[in-house]
Amino acid sequence: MLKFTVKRLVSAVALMVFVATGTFFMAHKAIPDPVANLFGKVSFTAEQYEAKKAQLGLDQPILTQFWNWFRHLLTGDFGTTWVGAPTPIIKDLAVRLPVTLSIVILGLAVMAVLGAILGVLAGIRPGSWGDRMISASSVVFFAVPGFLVSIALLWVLAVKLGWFPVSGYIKPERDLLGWLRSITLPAVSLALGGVVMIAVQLRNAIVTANSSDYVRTLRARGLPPRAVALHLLRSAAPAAITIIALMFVSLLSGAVILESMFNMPGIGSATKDASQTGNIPMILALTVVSVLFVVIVNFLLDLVLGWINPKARIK
Amino acid sequence: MKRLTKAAAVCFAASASLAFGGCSPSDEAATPTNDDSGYSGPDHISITQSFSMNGWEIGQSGSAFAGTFYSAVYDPLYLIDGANEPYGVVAQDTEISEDGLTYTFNVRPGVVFTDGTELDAAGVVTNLEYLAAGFGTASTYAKVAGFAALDEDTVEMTLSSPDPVLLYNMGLGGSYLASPTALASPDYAEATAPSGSGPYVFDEAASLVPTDYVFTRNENHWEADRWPWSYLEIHVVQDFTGAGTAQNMLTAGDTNVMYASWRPGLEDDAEANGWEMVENYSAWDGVMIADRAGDVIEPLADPKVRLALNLVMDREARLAGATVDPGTYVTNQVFAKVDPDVESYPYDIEQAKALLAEAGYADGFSFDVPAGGYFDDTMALIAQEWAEVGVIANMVQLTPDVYNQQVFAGKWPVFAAKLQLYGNPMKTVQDYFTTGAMNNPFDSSAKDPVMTDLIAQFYEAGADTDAISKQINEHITAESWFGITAHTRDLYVLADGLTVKPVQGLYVPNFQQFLPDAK
Repeated sequence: MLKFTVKRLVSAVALMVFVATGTFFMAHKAIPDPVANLFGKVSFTAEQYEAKKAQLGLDQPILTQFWNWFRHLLTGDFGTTWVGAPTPIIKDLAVRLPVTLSIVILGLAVMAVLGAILGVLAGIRPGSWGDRMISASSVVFFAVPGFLVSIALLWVLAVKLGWFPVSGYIKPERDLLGWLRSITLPAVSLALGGVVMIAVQLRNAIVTANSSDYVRTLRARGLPPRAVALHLLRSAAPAAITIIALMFVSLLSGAVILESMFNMPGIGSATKDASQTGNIPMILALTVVSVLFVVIVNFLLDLVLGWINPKARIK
Repeated sequence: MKRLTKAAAVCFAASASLAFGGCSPSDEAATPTNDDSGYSGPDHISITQSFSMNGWEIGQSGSAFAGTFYSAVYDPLYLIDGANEPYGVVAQDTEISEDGLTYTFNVRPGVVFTDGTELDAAGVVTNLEYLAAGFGTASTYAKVAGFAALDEDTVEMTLSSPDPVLLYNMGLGGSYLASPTALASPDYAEATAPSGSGPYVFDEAASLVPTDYVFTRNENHWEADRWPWSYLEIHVVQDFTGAGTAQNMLTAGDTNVMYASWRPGLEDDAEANGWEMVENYSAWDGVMIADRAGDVIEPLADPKVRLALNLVMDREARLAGATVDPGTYVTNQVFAKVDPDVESYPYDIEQAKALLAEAGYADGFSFDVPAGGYFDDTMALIAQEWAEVGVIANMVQLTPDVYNQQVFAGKWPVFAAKLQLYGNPMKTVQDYFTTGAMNNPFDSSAKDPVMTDLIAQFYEAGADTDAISKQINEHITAESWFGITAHTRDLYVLADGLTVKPVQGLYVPNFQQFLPDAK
């Protein structure tokens, strides 16, 4: 298991370096003249242009710019923002990351718990009333856009019933219950599509495993239903866990819209703003941070899958 | 030297005469008070608006959008009341010399900043010197030659030439006071929390900049008893969800004040929910024809061309749109108080074509105009109208922050705008027609002998500026200096138990304008 862990760690770091390098060059290629972009494509003197270019370090060769950026990155320094006051990006991220992570992690938790419960309920009794309900609702939740569900939830649970705040994020240090209330609707909105996806995956995995020879053998040996169910879950879990890890990436992307809808200053809204203004250091920082989280989640997924299924370690 | 009562100071500040009305300050309006006894309104005040704060530096406080933030945490020397007149807050017993060159006032005792520093005359001078160099406040003090602390409590401002709107400008957001200790810090401008003495204290730990700002009550404030609210929240709601989100928050009780733009059905919703709607005409909408001398776009030097551009702007048709605020007042005048003798430009394409032909531009001409954010739709509509007579305005997209920087820096000869209407006509003249004024980026007044003469007469008119103000208004309308389509209103929607006294010229109210509802 140790060798397996070290190998996964090395590949995770390599992936991080690869993505960071690629993003740097792609961002500079996509915004070939960031100085003109910052000036708003209108008249400015050559002196102003050159001064701005030098101030941002864009007068250096691209490889020098990359090295300067990368070596600072290794120390956790993402540089300063190009738009507005030149404040360190790390300060902005320190405010925004907890917002996004709060709703994404709660969304993931809601998705995993609800998905698992519904998947098991449907899987152990295929063809039952519950199974048919879950299958039918999965079609509805796949078909209906997530933002529409969010609006409906917001209107009923926040505006009409007043159970949750309509908008905004409350820091946990200010009001723990208020924080939980403020992230519940966006988290649930993010999670709903994933819940049915996990439920369906788990249900199918359980149904497949349930009809396999080894389960029949377990039953024939007289194992109690609870013990058989544990074997079933162990067999079906990898599919559901893989979906959860993939959904993490999806939730991070989904946060862009949800944060705007719920007026939350997370990294989703920062990504939108940075892209609109050509704020390259912010784009790079957000990409690196997002990839970092995805790599961490995938790394943990590999470890969990390796722990559940020893054959995965060999592969 | 004469001692000014508030009324006298105000009358002087307005050059003893308002352009279209008299100077009649109201004590009640000037010093709004709350009767704490029996207060049954909300425990806190929660405001939802669309402008965030990027910093707390007092030198940036000239913005018409930042008033609620600044006034909550800083005490000002002066503010403007509901009758558009300045009144002393920290400044007391203001005296102005007969020649208008020396202002003397006493510093209110008991003003203590959150860092423990006590305010005295020297502290006020430190602040005034900072404000006089501030990016957003320097223009207020352009005619002030120096500041001096005469003793521990008395401050003197010496002017190089009389400035009838000095106190008005100071009251319009140009005189907030920060702790002198904080001002001395080299990091002051980057501070993430203010060091003020205002009625509320910014709670940085509880806030989430730039969307949620939390302020706790300043129990040590010299007027703490006046504020019944235990805390203040300001929620910033932006982007495409803005209007709906803010109203949903008000419906759900998450907020109790909303700075709103009108939308269909808002009145019905307000009535159904028992909200009060307070209106404030604080801006005009349309297009600024800044290059009236034709320095960059030659055809614009001809008044016939500028009139033609106005004649194809269908002002009345704009009101037919379902999404246009019915409170919009169609006019082509830049003064807040509209002169009924000055007619609005008719919509007449044929006459516009004839004027362009007379001016030698029968085939039209083309030029670039900026577009961005709020002004996209305005500019697109105007460009479409101008195209009817062959005048092609090519829209160049800018980000909203770049847009504002560039149009006021004189980079664009023509641009769509929504600019302030001032309750004080002297302020209107100063901001729109004097050299160096922000809203006069191409300095057209200096290039127009008639206007130069009218402005000189205006400043010499002393107490009687009505006639000369009327002449200025007629001149700029006849010469088509602007492409104003309407005066627009800002709406403040308040839940039960609160009310606000609007001030013309301020898009958003100062915190001091909020009162428990007397209903």
